Amino acid sequence: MPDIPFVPENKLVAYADGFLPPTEMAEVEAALSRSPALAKRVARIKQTRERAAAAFDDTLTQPLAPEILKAAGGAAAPNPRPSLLWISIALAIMAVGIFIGRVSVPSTLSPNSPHLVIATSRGNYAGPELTKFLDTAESGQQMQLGSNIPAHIILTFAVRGGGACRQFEVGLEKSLMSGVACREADDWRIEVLARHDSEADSPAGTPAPEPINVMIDSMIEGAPYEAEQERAIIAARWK
Amino acid sequence: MLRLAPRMRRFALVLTQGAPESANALVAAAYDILWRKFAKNNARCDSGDLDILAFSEMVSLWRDHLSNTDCLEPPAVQPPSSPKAAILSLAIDDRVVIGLMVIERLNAQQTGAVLGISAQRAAQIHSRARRALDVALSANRRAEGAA
Repeated sequence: MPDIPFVPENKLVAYADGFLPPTEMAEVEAALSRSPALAKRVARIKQTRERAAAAFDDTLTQPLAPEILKAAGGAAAPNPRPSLLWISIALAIMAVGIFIGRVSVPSTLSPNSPHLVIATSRGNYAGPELTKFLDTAESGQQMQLGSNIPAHIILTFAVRGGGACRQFEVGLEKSLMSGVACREADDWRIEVLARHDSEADSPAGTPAPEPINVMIDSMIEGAPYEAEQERAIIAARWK
Repeated sequence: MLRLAPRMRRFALVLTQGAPESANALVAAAYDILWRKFAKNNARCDSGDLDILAFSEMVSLWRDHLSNTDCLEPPAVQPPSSPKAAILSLAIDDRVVIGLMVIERLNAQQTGAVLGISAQRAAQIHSRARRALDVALSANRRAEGAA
């Protein structure tokens, strides 16, 4: 009768989960090579773990309840320290103000500046130039807005509950800004606009500011559009 | 802090046996406690142990809730043969450890820190919970086969 090595169950589980120290890992591997029954047991433990580990993954993409969003921002705590989230949101709001002041509103100093963002009582909407850009540009394609303001689309994605949104960047270096705009009837509603880190040079392609990523994470349905899907929806005029 | 919310909610659903309202309330309450602690201790909220702290508060809150109330939200009804149903059918201690070590991928030391027990004890509970989960999943498979 073959000598079946004894390996405690908790060690087998730790091995299957990848939590054993290397020396013990080697011991278990040696035992497994001598015993098909043990190897079969480990395979079953792995299978159980994989099934269980993925069981709740669907919950990760579900929208968060308003009470969670409120609490995560520190709204319920007495005199909380300002969180990174709130600082980011404040920066984003300031950035919108700066953006509107510097780029959107035409002034005598920059007569060619377009109305990129128009603030309304219903929220902020893309002006004609930005609307045209959001309507027609493909991801990665760079266009010029107004007097040589570079702009490009980062990605396009479907949102939960229907509709499409686009992440875009406008500006250069220290005035580089990221935004998310969502199609609403024939307009583009600006959901968030944030300036890239002013300490860095902020070349295009650096990670988007935190509020942008948080916003996209909370809205996106599935994966961003592939190039083909994006071209199709542009051709269909976002219908 | 917000980035942790989906994981906190996932773990809350394991604790509350899938009851969504209770899970949301539990996550919100845990955030509230975390903010209070950060405010009191002037601690940074972006530390690497934030998930450990958050899960620890959630377990404490849920244990208090279980012991102090008689109006629990009923568990969510799951398809009987699903892995989710198998996990939610486990006893609370086993469910918590499966939630932490299998679903959240914490190691025994981290799980021990969440539960206030030694890493060795966490590993023992984990081993027992995995056997229980195996049995529950096998029962599901048999039921699926019979159907």
